[in-house]
Amino acid sequence: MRHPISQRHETIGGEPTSAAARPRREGGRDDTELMLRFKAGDARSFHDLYARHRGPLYRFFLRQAHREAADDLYQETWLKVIRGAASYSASAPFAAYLYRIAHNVLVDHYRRTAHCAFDDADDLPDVADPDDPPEAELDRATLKRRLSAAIAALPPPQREAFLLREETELTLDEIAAVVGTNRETIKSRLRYAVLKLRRALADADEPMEKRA
Amino acid sequence: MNGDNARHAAHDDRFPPYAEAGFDEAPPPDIDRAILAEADRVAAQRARWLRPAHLAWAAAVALSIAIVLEVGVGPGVAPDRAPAISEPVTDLGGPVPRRAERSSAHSDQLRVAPVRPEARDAADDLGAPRLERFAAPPPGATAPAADGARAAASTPDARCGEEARGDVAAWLTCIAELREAGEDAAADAELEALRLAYPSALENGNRAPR
Repeated sequence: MRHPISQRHETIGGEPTSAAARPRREGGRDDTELMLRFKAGDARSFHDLYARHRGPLYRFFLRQAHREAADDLYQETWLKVIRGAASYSASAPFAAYLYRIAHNVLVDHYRRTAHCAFDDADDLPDVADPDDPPEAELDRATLKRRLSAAIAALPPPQREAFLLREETELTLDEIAAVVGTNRETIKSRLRYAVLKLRRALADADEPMEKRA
Repeated sequence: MNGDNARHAAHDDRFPPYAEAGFDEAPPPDIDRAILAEADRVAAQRARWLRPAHLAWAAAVALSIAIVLEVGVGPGVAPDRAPAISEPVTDLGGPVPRRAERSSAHSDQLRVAPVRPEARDAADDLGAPRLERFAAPPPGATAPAADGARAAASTPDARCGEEARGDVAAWLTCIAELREAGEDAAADAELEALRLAYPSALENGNRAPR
């Protein structure tokens, strides 16, 4: 199998990646400032930063690896952020910095395990839950299961681009910089990913409609 | 799916079903704790490291300034021998010649200098008051320095200038002029200095002015 995500990237290129160009989050300090404060020895800033990014980053890995591996990759990424804080500069938004590290960690993981595809069916919630959740919850759980399966079936580059688009606030240029390609390639990957996901969800709906 | 749909999909900011699914998985609490604990440890380490760094930086700056000042001022005067700020810098008859007198090579030259005949004549010629001439600064000195030397020479503490001390006869003339001016204490001090500098000068026919 050709390795679809084959490059690690150390720099952020492309369009505006400066921290100044990013909007400041409401009600708090901006990510870059928090990271710089952590770099200066303020642990509390890191706690705030961590709280903002823990869910999205965890799901970024969880949609691309088995739960156990996702746990390890997630922890490894944060440890790299923490231990590399001394070299952090505000030349790029923190999210781009974080996901660039995550991307590299993921690439290393793919190289170690020698495959990029995975089936996360075991990690998904059971639709036939004995607790009998309400209908809306059942629908959402169904959607979650189907969508997770469809995402897992995407080619890894499309999957990564799609998750970066859905789970982060990165711009197309920043996503391109994180994965080391250009904006047009990212747009193409996103377009194909969305088409495949729509098709997968539609295909999953058809048998149910026929049964109904 | 046609091309219009593809274009539409490409310009969609987000994929709505993804938001509807409401993925909300979060890392296990033990991983959260481990990561935050590591962050606390690193932050504490950095905070500790940064404080001494500031101190070291300040110390380095202070040391640099001290070195620059030392190099700029030069090694000449020890603190206890350094002139006070209020002391006149043009006191040419005082410590400066005395230091020159004590310095090894120069003072040796002074001691072996022969007494010239014309100097003896000059020593006898005590007619005109020439304090200014003997207290004058060396060539190249600035005008204020010369003024200062003249001022210093006219005071009771004034001593003979370096030029006068370079020659026994000239020095004796200077001492004689001091006596004429009624500055016996200064003349005695100069005479004593002359005896030390030229132990045999007074025994070779040079008459000490009284």
